[in-house]
Amino acid sequence: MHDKKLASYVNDIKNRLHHTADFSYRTIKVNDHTIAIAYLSDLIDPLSLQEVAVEPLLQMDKHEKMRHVIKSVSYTIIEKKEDLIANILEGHAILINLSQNEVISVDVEQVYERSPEEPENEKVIRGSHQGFVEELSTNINLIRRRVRNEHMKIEYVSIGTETNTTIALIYMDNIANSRTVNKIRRKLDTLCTDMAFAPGYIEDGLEEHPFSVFPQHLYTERPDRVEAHLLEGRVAIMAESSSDAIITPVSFPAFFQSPDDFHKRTYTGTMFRLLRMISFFGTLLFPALYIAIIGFHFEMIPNEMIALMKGSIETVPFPPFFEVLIMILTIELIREAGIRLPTPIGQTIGIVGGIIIGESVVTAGLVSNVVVIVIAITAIMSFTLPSYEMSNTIRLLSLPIMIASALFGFVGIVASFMLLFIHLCRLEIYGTPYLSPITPLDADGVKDTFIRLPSFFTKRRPKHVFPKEMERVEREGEHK
Amino acid sequence: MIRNEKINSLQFIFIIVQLQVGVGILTMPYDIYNKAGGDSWLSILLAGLFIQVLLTGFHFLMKAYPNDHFFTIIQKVFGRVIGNVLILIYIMYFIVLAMSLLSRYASILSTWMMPLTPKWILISLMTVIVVYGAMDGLETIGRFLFIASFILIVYVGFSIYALKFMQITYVLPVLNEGFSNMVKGIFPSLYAMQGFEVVLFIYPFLRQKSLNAYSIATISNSIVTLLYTFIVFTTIVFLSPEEIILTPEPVLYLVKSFSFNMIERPDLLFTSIWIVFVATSFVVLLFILTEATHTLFHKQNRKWMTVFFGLLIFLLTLIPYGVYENKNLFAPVNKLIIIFSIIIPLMITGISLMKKRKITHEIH
Amino acid sequence: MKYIKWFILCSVLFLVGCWDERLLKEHSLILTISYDQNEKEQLVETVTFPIESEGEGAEVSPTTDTNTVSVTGETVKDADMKIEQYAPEKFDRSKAKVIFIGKKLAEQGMFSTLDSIYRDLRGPLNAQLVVVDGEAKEAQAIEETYQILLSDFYTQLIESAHHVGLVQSENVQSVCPVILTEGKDVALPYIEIEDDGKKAHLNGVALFTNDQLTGHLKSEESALYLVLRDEAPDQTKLNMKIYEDQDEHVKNYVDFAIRHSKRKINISIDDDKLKVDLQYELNIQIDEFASDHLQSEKKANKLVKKIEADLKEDAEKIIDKMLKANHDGLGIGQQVKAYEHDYWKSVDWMKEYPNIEMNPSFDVKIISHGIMN
Repeated sequence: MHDKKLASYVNDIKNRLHHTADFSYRTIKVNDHTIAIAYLSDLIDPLSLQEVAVEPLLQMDKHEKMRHVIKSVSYTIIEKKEDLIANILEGHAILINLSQNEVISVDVEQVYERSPEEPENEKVIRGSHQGFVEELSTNINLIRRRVRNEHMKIEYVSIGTETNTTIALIYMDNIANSRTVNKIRRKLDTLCTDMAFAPGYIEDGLEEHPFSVFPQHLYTERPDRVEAHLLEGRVAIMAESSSDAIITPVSFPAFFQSPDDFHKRTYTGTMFRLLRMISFFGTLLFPALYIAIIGFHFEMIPNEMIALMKGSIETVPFPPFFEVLIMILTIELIREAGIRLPTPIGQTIGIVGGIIIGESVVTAGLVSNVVVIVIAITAIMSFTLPSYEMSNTIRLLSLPIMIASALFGFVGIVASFMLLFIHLCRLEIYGTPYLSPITPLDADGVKDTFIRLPSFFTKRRPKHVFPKEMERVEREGEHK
Repeated sequence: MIRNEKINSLQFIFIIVQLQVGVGILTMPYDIYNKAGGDSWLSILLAGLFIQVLLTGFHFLMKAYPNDHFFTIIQKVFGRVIGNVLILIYIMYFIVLAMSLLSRYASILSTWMMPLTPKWILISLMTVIVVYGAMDGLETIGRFLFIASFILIVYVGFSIYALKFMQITYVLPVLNEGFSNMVKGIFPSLYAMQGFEVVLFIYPFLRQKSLNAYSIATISNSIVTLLYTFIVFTTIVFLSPEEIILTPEPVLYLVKSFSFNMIERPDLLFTSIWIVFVATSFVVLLFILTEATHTLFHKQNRKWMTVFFGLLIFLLTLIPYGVYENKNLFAPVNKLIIIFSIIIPLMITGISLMKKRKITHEIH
Repeated sequence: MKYIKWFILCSVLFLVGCWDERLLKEHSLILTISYDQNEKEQLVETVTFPIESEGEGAEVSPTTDTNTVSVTGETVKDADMKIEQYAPEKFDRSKAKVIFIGKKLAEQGMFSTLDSIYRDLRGPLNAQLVVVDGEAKEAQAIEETYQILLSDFYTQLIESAHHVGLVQSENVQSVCPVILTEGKDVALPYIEIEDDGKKAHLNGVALFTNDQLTGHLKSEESALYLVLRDEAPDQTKLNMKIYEDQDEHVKNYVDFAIRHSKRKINISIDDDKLKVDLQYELNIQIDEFASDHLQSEKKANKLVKKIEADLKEDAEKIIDKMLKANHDGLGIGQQVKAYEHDYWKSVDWMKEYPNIEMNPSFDVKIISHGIMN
């Protein structure tokens, strides 16, 4: 009788899984009990199932419960059929013993995971070379090992009506502002999407200004970066099967920091940060400046250069705006093609594109050699930014500035920079002004933005994140 | 009454400074020199002192109504009807101010950099920027104005460089035009420093009460006075007296004559950067206008109100250009400041203080 | 939608065009301009602009050849219009580096000629002003320019002369306040053309009264003139004959460089007659002194006394010339205005200036005599 019931039970599971081909089950008979083991064969590790469940069950006494014999710490007692399906989908094996009315699930998931290698796009010279992998629990493990603190809190949210992806919300309970955390949680809860394959996919839903060109979350694959931001009161969001963490709320200067800076001396660290800041403005400014100077204000060119420049653009058939546009497009194409192609070919493309096109386009008289210099420097500058998102943004932004400068010369450049800064001033991310700590000015915050003062100068956490606890280390005597 | 917008004291300072700087910074030495000659810089100092006295008067008003700005104070002092009429008059005053600002901006930019670009294009460019900036209210404005203030350093830097070529005998002997001329120079100085009254409109939004609005206004007034004095002084000792009279925008002319190895014509940069000051002044004016309508109607959509005022001012500025392109068309506007920034606020201060005293008398 | 609207607006603007656009490649850059006056008092304007280089694309080498166009017009702008009729591209004078003024025009007054530059928002305010002995356009026709552009030749010639204290480097803007100011006058570099118009030679400074050429100081005098003006750079070199009777010719002379100078002006009024005491403190470095033996204090003091006396003598000669030319190069008028304001108001300075009395005196100190005694 039990057998029949069992068969229909299993059938029911099969139905719920729509008779998927990788569903398998087997039954074992021990002491008159028939125990069914159901699982998705491609999702589990057969060896571990053998070891954890099958072997102990075969030696089970008659009155023993299954849960007492299996060799696993992670098992759950199933009470509802819905849970059962969810567990199967998570790579659990379901052990069903209807004669004892016991259904439990055992975690025997087969995980193929990468070792925590250094992320390709966030390489550093000094410091940790660890990077996140696609396994959420490994990633949290990496963070936990860095922050051994009872206040570090993790919340799981399931996002995606179809995929049921686990999203982890990580923050320091004693530092992170609870209003910010609540806001993020609420945003996550109300997020309506069928899938969430990476934090980037849900980023749009989390943003308060989805139409702004500026990135509002910091992406990282580095546990040390997450650690540093957690301790300043920010929140990290990670997803199962993705090696990215997004950090929020961040402000503009965060996109110019690299974990490397903290391993440098104060002076060199500051120098490199200023260099990146110059790159930011240079990328936006140089093409537009070229257009404005050649097209509007050539009296600006130093005397020594003017004859040379005039000679070099004499044969160019295009107005300066199109001249620059052609070169920018070429560089972007080379870059895009280089990413898509396998590394060896990608490098070839770089050389072919960069050297051959650049050289011949000038000899053909299509663009002037000054433009090639300007655009090449601009491109290099844009790639110095540690944040891939920011670097893309500013290359895109340089286009409208170029248009403005082709229309109004310097006045156009100044006008577009005004619009840019007004836009930056308007942006707020969960209450944190995007341009903080520059404006509104926070003297403590500035110590670790474009300059990098030694860590004993930055004893307070940045004010603009609104941390619960301002002091990084509680000073003696002030302790209550 | 007052919305939950807050600015910090630095932003407070620079809102006042930026509104005052505006167009004045380029033309002021010319206007003042015509009256006070070599002693113009003394006139500026005196004007600064005079404004400080005015601010002290405003201080009592601000103390009496710590949570209201000027428009709500008007309503409280004069009652609904008269108050609203007065606010309407103020709205018109600020619109005219903005128009004068825009038209002077267009004519200076046109004569110095873009003679062929139609003025309506230049004006609409500025209007678009400013409306975008003013839409979000005071917090954005405060942040933006703080950043924009770094440009003042460029101006001071150029002026310091000009001192290298100074001819101190141009200002000697002190008071050679006579004391009365120096006093006459106070009026154009006051016009150039127009905008100090903004302290009355924004002080309730100040976040820290530790440094009160009066002391912060004092700081900003000193900044503007010293900055202006310095610029006027360098202009006078750099350009000869006869030359200043020939150049209505002496500050630009001064920069135009410099040349560096890398940058041949710094005045082009200088003029184009200057439009930031126009934008910052204009942005504050738009904010005050929306604040006025907010006081009138209590409920409003700030975004649309800003767009409305922006469009209105844009169109109104264009009309006189259609008739005759005259940059001095708005010159008399300057004189209005005496009524609207000095006489009426002082009057209201007096009335409100009397009222307060009456009330306290009745209680005792 | 909002963004599409903006995009359309932007593209419309873009199509309308760029009103103030001036493309570099569509303009011929005028590098030197000269202004002369002909017999009918008309203006002769001559401009030079570089010949387009022939190099293709990347292989552009700067050219050193120039074209010259000369026209006659009533005013500067009228002449500019006429020049336009001679070349394919539009002319642009905003990058002009040197402006030559012919002697005749300079004697008539040059300010009205410069007016259009002051008025022009793109005027070449940084161009060097040079006075040419004779016709100014001759200076543009010289052959020997040492393989560099004509404009570079002149700017470098004047710059280097300026560094050793021979002339002042004045541009269009820097003369403007001085010309307009009563009580101070300008002096411009003075060019002479030699070898039948083949070579240019910088020979001292031209002295002006307001904007009119009234005198000339040769190179031998111009260095000391700049010292008197207190505008000599700290490497001004002077050569001075101090002896008449030495056995070797060279030993009659001493050469020194002024390392530091300081001026003091004392103005006193005696019976409505203005007396100006000019005191100069000079720290000098002996560059050449064939008689040697400067280690002895006595000998050095003797030399100093001699130099002081000779400087005074030379300075008086120069001042004499300045007074004759009614050229107030030292800015005495400004000093009088600043410190003797009542007197300044009571007189017509232009008339009064030639009658004033100026007494230069020098206090020389040898601070170095090179690596040898």
